[in-house]
Amino acid sequence: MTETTSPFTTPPDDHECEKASNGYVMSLMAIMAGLPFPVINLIATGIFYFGNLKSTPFVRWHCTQALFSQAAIFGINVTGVWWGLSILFGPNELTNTFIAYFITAILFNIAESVATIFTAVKVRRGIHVELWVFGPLTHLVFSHEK
Amino acid sequence: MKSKLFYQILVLALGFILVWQGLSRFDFVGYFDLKRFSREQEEKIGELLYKILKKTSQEPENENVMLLLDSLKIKICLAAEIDPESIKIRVIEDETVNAFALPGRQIVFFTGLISASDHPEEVAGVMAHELAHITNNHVSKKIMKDAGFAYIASAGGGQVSSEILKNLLHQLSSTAFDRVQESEADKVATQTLMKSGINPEYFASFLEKLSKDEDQIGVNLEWISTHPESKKRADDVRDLAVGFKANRLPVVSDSLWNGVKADFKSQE
Repeated sequence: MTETTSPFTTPPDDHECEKASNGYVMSLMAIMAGLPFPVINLIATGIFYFGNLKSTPFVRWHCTQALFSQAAIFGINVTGVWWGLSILFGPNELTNTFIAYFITAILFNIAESVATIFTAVKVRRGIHVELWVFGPLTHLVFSHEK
Repeated sequence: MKSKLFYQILVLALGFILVWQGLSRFDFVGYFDLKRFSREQEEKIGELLYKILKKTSQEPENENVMLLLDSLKIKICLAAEIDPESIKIRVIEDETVNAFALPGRQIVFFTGLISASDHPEEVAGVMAHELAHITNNHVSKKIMKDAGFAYIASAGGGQVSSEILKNLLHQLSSTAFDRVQESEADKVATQTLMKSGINPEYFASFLEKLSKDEDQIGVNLEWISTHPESKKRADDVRDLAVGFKANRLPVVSDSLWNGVKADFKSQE
């Protein structure tokens, strides 16, 4: 993640910073609440994203970045949950590959949470932060909007 | 911008795969002995289930039956490359034609199933089938499906209520495994029978015979009602056994088999 020069023409006011920062806080809270059911994270962040569609570009940009980062973690978590359920109730066996996946998923979840907290704090101060992968992805989406 | 994005996605995906595959090299299952832990819990639950079963039923006093089943167990286990000592054969005095696998590597036979068999090879076929459910972990899977979180709680050191255990026993003794598991057990059983020199035709004809008998005489044929599509299963067993040359020697001595049958007749 990198702090970059803001691509927005006007600096965000305090209210905007708070809203944009809340996008990340929301996704973080959703991870904690929805760990057994990863789709809850995505839905919660999605609701926040759609609720801010008519907001300023700064708020929308950060809500979009939060949504993308959630979608990636959702993919990782949903695979882990379904794999786990198929071991408990289905034909699959408990293997080293599954345990390794589970640990990797936890590591990525932790990394994502740290990045999210860092970004939320910075954005709350009005500093524009672009996450690895999700920053360029958000730019790509916004370039199409223009 | 697009090339930067592509590069970052590639690095992230590769990073994930590398960490995952790197961690996969560790033997977590072996190091923490996770399978032994679940085996111990299964044995505990298996003992509890058998105790419940024994409360409502009796074990037969017929020594020949145990001798017959033990002889078959040794033959089949050796063919399946399993330590015969690890498998417990239980017999229950009940005229229902039924046999089922219980957790803790137990196979329960109702005397009704042995009475309904015309040859010891038919009993061997059922035993090989139930053994396959054990070796392929179908029993553990079924427990997880039927008892679910109650079982997980017991594995965590908690207690499972007797009501849950009774339900579980009912599920294990009177409902089938899923279709894939049943056909997998048939396949493994047929291979085991062939390895031990027993003609799988006996197993196939036992399946067919019981499905016919059910219509004709209306006896309680639990094993068939819990194992549907018997005709198709019999055909599948025959297909697997095409070209098999059976051992001409009987699987157990005629005198033992006749002794078992005579004991049942005298009890009637």
